[in-house]
Amino acid sequence: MSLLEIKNLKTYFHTRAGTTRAVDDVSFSIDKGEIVGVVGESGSGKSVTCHTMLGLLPSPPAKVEGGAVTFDDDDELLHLSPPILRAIRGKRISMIFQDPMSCLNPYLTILDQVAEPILTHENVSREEAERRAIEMMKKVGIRDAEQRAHSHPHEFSGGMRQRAMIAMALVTNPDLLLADEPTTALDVTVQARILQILRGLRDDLGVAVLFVTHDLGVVADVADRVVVMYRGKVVEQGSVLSIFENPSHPYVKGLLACRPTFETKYRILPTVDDFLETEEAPDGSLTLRERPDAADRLAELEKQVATDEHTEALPTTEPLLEVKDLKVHFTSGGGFLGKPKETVKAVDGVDLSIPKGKTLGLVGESGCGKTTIGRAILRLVRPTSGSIRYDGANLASLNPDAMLAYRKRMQIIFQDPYASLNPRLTIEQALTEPLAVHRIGSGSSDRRDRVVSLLEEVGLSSAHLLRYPHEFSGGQRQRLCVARALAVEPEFIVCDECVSAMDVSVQAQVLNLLNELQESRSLTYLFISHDLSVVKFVSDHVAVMQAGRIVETNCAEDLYRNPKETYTQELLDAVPKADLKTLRKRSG
Amino acid sequence: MPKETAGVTKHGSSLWKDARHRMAQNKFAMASLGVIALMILFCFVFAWFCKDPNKVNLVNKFAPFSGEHWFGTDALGRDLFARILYGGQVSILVGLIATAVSVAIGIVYGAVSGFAGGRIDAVMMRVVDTLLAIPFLVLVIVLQATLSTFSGDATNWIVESWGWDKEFTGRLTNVVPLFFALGLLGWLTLSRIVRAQVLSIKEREFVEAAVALGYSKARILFRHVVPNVLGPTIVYSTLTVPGFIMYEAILSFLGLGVESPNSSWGVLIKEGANFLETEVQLLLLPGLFFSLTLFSLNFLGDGLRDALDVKASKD
Repeated sequence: MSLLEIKNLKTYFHTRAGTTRAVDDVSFSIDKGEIVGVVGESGSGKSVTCHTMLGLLPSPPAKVEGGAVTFDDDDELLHLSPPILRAIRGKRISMIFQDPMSCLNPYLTILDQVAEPILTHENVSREEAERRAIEMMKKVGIRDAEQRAHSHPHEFSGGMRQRAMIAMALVTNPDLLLADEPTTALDVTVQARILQILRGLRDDLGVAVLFVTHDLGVVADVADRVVVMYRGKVVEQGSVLSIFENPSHPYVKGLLACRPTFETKYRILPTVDDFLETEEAPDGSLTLRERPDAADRLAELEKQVATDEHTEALPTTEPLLEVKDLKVHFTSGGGFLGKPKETVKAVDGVDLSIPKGKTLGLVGESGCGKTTIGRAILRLVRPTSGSIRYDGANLASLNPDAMLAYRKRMQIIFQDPYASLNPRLTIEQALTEPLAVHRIGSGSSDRRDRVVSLLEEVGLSSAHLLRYPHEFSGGQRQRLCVARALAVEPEFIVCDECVSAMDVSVQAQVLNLLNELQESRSLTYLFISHDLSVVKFVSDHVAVMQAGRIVETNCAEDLYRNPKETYTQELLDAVPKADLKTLRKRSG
Repeated sequence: MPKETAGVTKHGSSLWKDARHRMAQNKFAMASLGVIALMILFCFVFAWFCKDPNKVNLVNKFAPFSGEHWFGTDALGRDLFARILYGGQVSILVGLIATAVSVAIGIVYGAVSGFAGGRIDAVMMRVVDTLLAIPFLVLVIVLQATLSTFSGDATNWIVESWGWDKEFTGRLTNVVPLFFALGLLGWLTLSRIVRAQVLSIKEREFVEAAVALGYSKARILFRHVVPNVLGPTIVYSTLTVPGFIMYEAILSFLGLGVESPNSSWGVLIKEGANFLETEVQLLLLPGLFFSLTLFSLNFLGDGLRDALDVKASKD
């Protein structure tokens, strides 16, 4: 008997622009005490499925067009009256959300919030509720729960808040926990601990978990069964091992192949498009087919396997960029009325060097100062002390006018492609501007030609010239950002988390683009990311950063194979492993 | 949602175009726009074909509605319809000119303050705070009085050097100080709004990208930052137009704004209020034109706010 059974669920969004089939004929079930991972890219309908079940979608525009959700064999969730549904929500089915920062009420103490579901759903005394809340907080790994329970959310770190959220969700002993991307906003080490806690709680309390995520690695780590969704449909479901070992649907095959892992040997990543052909009928229904030549295309890519170039020792040649003892301190406070100044040492004595034409990967957890380093090199923030030698000149001591000459030679690509293009300029305007400012090209028609060839270089076309940024998808926008950076013909590019906000299939395309450009234009990259697998894929050398300092630097292969520092080891261990060996061991 | 086109260069739709489209679907806002257009047409075009609004005819005072005097006449036998249209000229011009002046100052001041940051920002904002601490109408009255001292000289100068009609010039120089007094002081709140917007826009990555690409500060400010704060600015300024018209009316009602024989809606309402018990149409008719215009401007402002809401057009 399954605990939750979703049958042919259809949720459509009706807007002025037309109907979007967000969830289109989805069926799957969860047994008692089972962890089911629902994986899909953004827009695949995984979160909508979750929200539909609990009646959490705003309607209109959302409308359930058909299907049934049976909970515990008798309740048909979709047709329950609001009061009965409320009694189930938070008591028998509870939910945790992605962002632990905004899901807790900043005015109430953690204890108030964890005890609240009990007081809402059960008829117990406040003392009893608080006792149980503290007990649950201990179970999710909040140390000194008795004392810390009286803190407010801002006194908790991100990981601790997510634990409090989990405690809040589980304190009523629900049968089912819906977890919507619960670890996406967290650092890998914190994520690893949260996943461990979730698995432990499942074993202890027998709660079933529906775990929604975009990250196949996380699913491999935590789930018993996997449901893969694509554009509103379930394309494949089965046990974790079977999905990873023997995927049958071309989309799943593509998804598994396009994800860089520690073992990836490809120089160019396969993409989902290598496996899958989609055809959209005029009425919005989709046909998905496997490309007949998928195997050939993969074989082609395998031929270009990177030779062991990532293992060569740090070269002794003159580096293009050499950073010595860089410090960036921020001061806050110190206003009119003489508040005490506080200094944050974002970067505190960092040495880096990048040889010409190579990629240095910079990894670290959020807040470690890696982004600040990138910005300091480009003088977007002012370094407090230290030297940044770029091709002989010390950038740290240049005045803004002298710096102008170097702005042409070094560029940056940011994390959020939505925020890094001016929404009021057409693509042509945005790409012509750097050419005009730096007097590259003769006259407007020559510049236009240059812009077109830039667009083609990043995989877009002249058809896009007169469009505005909001008419492009995230991946296309990031290509535009790359094109804009390339417009001034730089030799060095800082990639600041530039694929972190993307779905894996889009990420693979952008990574391939960066790799191709590095070869064709012999670019030098500083690749900043929190994702160790991606960093390993793109980098020749890797520097690991912690709390404003570099902990360890080595060439990529060696660093991942034999980390010398314990912090590096911890980071590597925390990355969810999706290799078959680990999976087989876990499945017993 | 991105759409693929096969090799054809297609004009994209800018955020302004999207906003126009959304605006066109808002019936209230479009109706308001129509009312405002009609009002402008009446006051500035139709008025030329009307009777002389200042022609006194004491024999025919308080005349009832008739073919000759559509809205009757006032206490001095002047044609009320003509006076309302001419008064509308002053009231509408007050709204538009004062808004234009205040928007120009407010955007530049707020943008520079927000973009420069640090000490410059602190000093500029303290100036705004100081001015905001003094009652607005007091400042306007003082500034208008100061500007008015030059109006006699200005009249003579214009008449001599440009050869304009003396009476017309005199009427013009009588009202212009009020326009500018309102405009020169009305930008305070707007500059704060612009500054707040600039502060958030300048943290966006496209501004950092512009710095990294070596663009000059002026280029970044006026090409990349300011166009992105125009939406909220336009919305706020449509809502200030009725505010300025109202201030003019208040000042005129108090006898400090537009002086007789010039009329404005405020002047007419004040004159009408004297005969509230016997000749109520003298108050109601100018009041009707006045409120209709204010209503329409407010509806238009609301429509623009919905149309220009950046959140709705983000994806």
